[in-house]
Amino acid sequence: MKQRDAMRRQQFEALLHDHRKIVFKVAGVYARSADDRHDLAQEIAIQLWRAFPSYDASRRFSTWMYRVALNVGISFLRKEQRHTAPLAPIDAFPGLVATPADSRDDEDERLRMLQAVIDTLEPLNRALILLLLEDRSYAEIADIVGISESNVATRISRIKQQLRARLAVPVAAQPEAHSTGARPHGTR
Amino acid sequence: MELDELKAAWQLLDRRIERLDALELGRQRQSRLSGIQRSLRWLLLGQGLQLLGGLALCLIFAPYWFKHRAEPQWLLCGLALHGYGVLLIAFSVRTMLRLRQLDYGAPLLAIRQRMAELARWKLSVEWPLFATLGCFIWIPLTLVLFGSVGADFGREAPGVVIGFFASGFACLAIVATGLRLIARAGRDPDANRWGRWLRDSALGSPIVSAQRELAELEAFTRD
Repeated sequence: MKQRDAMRRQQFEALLHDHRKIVFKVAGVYARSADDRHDLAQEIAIQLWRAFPSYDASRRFSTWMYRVALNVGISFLRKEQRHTAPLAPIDAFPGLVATPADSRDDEDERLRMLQAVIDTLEPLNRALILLLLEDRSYAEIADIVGISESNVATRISRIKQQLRARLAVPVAAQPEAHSTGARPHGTR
Repeated sequence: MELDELKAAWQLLDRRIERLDALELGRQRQSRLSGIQRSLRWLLLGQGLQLLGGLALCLIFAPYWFKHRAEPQWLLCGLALHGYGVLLIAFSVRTMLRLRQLDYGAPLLAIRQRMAELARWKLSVEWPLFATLGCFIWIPLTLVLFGSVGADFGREAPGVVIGFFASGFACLAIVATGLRLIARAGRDPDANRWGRWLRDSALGSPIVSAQRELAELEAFTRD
């Protein structure tokens, strides 16, 4: 029994290690500060371990991992949005991007823009855009997020429209949907 | 920012994560290797004490057997204890040299190989040799100690000396059993709890914990 537990733990640790970038990305998309990112990454790892007995080894681990990690990220963000002051500042990909005061780097600027775009999205749509940017197919996205493929297609099409409309004007000049608590049109 | 631009920025983020990950792995490696160095410092200290013990035996028993070279019983006791002291010195010097040769900047596999070689030597040479000698080396020491207060067991009570050797052989039987258990634990560590415990005891906690840290570090940094 002990040996089986140890083996299961080892198997989990190896899988988590191999797919750790998923944790970093989900934490980067849903966390508002470096501390939050750290807390969220830990929470994701804990929930993955708890859910590990339900993992079906015949299926792709990354799909299952995204499903659990995104659920944790979505819950985390919803909870944060309820408890955090609406105008609390958000660090762009905390730990990964220098603060504007520290850097005028073009790459940092592009990442800040990406974060600003993601921040305009409500939690579920963040999951969709993350998976889309990861080049996942609509079928895979549907499987991970737990909605139908046609629903995924509709939502993504709306997100694209929404982004085009928003991106027609510079991101910095847009009203901050995330900080005002307002939801973009056409999202849940 | 169109979707293509978002994708390009996402790939940039991916590269940043990889860079951060590499930095974190580097930090982890450094911290674990420092832990291993700390563990092995205790081994070095133990070897230093062993060296001092060996030197003390040599300094005491070299003049002793030379003084008693006309009395075979005391000559043999003195030579045995002097020889034991030399062995203690030789083995501790060898281990200390191996520890000094460990390059913590080398690839993990190379460090693991060095540690495995050290462990192999301890288990297959040092421990069997000293466990076997330990079964008997106390006999000349006891004879010499009692001899120094005027009790010559060899002459006055040879039965006691025979009894000493009998218990030495009984101890050797236990050592042989222990060695068999250790060998079995080497083949299947999970099925032989006692063997594993004996093996870890024979290796000593500094080597065991250093090996565990190295294995964890390797699992952590493997890609």
